[in-house]
Amino acid sequence: MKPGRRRAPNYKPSGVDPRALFINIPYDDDFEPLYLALIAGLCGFGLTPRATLEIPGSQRRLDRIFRLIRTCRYSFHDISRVELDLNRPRTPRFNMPFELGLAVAWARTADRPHGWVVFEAKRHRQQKSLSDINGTEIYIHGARPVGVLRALTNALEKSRHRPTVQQLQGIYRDVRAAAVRIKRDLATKSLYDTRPFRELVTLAQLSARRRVASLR
Amino acid sequence: MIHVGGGFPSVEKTAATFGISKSRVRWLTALLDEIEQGRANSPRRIRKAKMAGLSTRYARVGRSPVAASKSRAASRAKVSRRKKTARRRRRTL
Repeated sequence: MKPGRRRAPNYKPSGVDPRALFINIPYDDDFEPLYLALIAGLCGFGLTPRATLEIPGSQRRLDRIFRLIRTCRYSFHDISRVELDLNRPRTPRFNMPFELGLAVAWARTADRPHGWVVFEAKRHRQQKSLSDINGTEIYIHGARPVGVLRALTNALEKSRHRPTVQQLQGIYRDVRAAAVRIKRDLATKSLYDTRPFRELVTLAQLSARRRVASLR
Repeated sequence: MIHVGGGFPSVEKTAATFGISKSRVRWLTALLDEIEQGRANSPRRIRKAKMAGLSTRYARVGRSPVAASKSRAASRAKVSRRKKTARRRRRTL
């Protein structure tokens, strides 16, 4: 441990999964195609996406979030949901920037590396909405699944596995088709739940193994 | 830009981490096979249109995208011909 740095509570280095990646995204219907693209894309790079919705239980939400961030080597944050939502009282969503702040704080204070990447839908908007992180590279996805896949290939350019956007689109198509069946099978309308999330990740990994040669 | 090394997490390991049973993993594998099979068995016109990045709207009614385009042009030509004929008739009245 570097001098002058305080060890974080409940420090467990062995608990870090080098391929686990925490995803911090808005859980709404409009974001669903991008959510599927993110799962497909990350699995195409040999990573395992983790999200707060996969952990059921009575634990405080904040504790769950922080525990997940600590166990993941990387975290990806989407800060595109800055608009006021339509339901009254009309408010923007602060969860994503808040969790980004937690990840940045963890990356700065922990004595093990933690990488964080930020995604946005519109270019230059973050300079207005979250200017504190100016100077950091922001990946723009344009609110389109192919944009997410393209942004991932840029963000993970130094990855050992380098699937093409075409290959990632193949995985995305499989995940999208399977999502319909999973919804029907689990009698649910939402994919933002523990079981659908886990099954989508497993399916995306199965598909990635078939489509990306280096993952076999 | 981040660097990700290492191999690939085995699906079995992920399933175990997530608490997904082996039978459910088998179901997911079968679902994936079914999706691929379905895609392979789709009509040739639809497959070709998709591969060319064109709309499958016309392929679905049994026409190739090129034929659909020709047909649209033909119908536009027909309308234009009708208009010209009508104008000519008005002139000769």
